[in-house]
Amino acid sequence: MPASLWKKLRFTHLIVPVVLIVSGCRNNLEAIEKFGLTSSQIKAASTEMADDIYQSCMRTFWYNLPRDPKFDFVSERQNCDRFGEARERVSKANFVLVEYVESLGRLASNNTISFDSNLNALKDSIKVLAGNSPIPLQLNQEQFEAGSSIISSLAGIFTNSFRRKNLRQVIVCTDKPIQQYIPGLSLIAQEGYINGSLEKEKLIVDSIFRDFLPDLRNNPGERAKKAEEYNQTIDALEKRKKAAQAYIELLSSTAATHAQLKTQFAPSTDESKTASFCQGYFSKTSSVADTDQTFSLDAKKLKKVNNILAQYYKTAKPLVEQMEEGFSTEVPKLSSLPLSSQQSLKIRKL
Amino acid sequence: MTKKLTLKELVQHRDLIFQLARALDRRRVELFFADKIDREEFKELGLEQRKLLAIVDDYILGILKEIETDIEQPGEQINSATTSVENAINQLEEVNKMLGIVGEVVNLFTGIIGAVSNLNPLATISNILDRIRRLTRV
Repeated sequence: MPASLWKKLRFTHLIVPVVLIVSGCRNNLEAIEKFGLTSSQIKAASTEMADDIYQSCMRTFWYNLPRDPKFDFVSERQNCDRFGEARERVSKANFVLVEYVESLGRLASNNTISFDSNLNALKDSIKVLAGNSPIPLQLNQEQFEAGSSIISSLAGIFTNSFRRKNLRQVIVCTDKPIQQYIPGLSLIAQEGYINGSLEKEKLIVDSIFRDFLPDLRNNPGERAKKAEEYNQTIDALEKRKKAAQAYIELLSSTAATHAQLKTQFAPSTDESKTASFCQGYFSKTSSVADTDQTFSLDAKKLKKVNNILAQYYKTAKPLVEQMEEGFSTEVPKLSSLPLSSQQSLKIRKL
Repeated sequence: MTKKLTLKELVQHRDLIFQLARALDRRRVELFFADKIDREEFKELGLEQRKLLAIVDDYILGILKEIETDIEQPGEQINSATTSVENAINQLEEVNKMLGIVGEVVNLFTGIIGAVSNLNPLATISNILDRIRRLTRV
């Protein structure tokens, strides 16, 4: 993965920390780090894509400007501004998913809220209190350590069970809207960007390069140069299409992973039981009571969850690389004037 | 557009315009090389074809708007889930803050015990007052 992408990955969030906390296993920090990449990658890729919806319009603005004598650059710019507004809305829509995933990671990660410093300070305070007390507290080192460990364990049990309960609820109950929302985001990328903005831009590039054909008929050297320029432009657009396609695949894989996790955490395979478990979850006035206190992940289930996440990471890694490559390739600027106009300019100057 | 088109119709119309634009672009090349149109007419057809493509912008924006409307409700539910997760994080932060307060209270007791048995009670009392001030700020 290019170094620039690693720099963008500031968050340590996504699904693996969630699973580790739900399952009670908290030692696989390497896995947390690896999977934590994804939410920021979705953020970076979706921002690039949303921005390119606007940039694509501006590129066609500059393609058309020198070639159309009646080109009204004021109204054309106003037209592109509508895509600027769409860019903001598309970014916002993608951030809904990113922020959800990030919040899961923050709740799961022990790095977000660490009780260690306050617990250690409390232990030290008790130690000093015992030493200063005029009444002998009769605490030897062993007893003191045992007491401190109990405090730490109780805090750990409380917070882990709190995190587990909340994460399990949110994954199980938010799966339905997630499964409706992600296909919508994919459709924006497919029909709005790939088959919309980029396809239109490609057809305009084709048309503009065809404008050169009459002047290139008897000029094979110039024709090869123009073909080279055309190929570079089309390749850059194709790379963007592939990057957006990779983004769609990543979204689809995220939705599938979320659904698989929900299956593992759901109280039952019976959907009606899940519906009753989630009743009131999205209502502002009531909160869901976790009535299924017996829930636990046995070794077999935990292995399944680990496999789901390993597969997710295996799928996500090359897709992210493809996204990074596609959006970092600049679309070359076309020669400012068609050959025929350049020639006619020379004639006028003579 | 007087009638509100569905997402499917918007996509179909957009693709029809693309199809027409592709055909027009190929046709002008055939006509030029068959000497049926001259260079100026060839360029003029190119301009017209690009104007046709400009119509597609309304369709692309319409497609985006339709999808955004479709995902509005699940989006609100996801936002509400994010808020409840944020609230849970805040609750954990509150517990963490409480641990800090308990530590400070223990320190205060340590100070009081120290003042009772210490040889320099004035310095210790000033220290206790400082701790009380810190505690009320938590």
